[in-house]
Amino acid sequence: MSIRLDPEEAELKALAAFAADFDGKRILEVGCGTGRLTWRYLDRAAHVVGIDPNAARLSRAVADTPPRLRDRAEFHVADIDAFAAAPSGKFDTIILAWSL
Amino acid sequence: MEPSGMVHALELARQLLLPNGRLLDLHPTGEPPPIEIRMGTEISRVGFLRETDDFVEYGLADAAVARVIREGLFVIEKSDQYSFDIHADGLEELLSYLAEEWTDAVIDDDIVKRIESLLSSSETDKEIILRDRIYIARLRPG
Repeated sequence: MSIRLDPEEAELKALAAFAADFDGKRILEVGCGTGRLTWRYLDRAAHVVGIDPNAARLSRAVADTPPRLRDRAEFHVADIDAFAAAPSGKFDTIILAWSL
Repeated sequence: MEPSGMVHALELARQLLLPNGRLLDLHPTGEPPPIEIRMGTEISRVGFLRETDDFVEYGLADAAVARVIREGLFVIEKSDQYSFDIHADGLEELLSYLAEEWTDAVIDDDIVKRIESLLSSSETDKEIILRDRIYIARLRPG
């Protein structure tokens, strides 16, 4: 008995069609939550910064980060206001993940 | 988020983007998500999930994006929609998932009864499918 999210991978296909490529890109994901969307492109990005104001959800993202990709991802408990106050550089792609 | 907060978030995103960067916006369209039951190869629509307030925010998000485009902050390159489907083996699993992840979602009692009735059949290959329409857009700095 279980829940399966987007087994058809419509989200992944849409991301691929819209982002063109994530290869070597520096990406900011706003509202990354548990990292569900992040895992879909992290292996291709150069570096990903995920932010979310919900600490509990973000702690799941940290815990679930694949060990081989840990050096490519960082997560911060913050909304975009707080993050933009002390940004760590600029980004090739910003994803607003259901966060507006 | 308030409408002014959404516009502000888009302004901050613009500041954080490289000049040739791209912004991807993904959010639900606000259309009521249909709930279906699949029994083998047969799919029956039993009703729609009702949201108490999130759908209002999705409309406001559309308005905020439209505003920053009007003001020249971003140019929209392309947009589309896709279906983000949630498959549940049973009603209990679906309700538990919604309670945790989609807190303003309501499945009305008459729909619950229809789901329970269909799932009580002897068919073993069956599931509930919730289909959420998602808007996706790619924007570049204006």
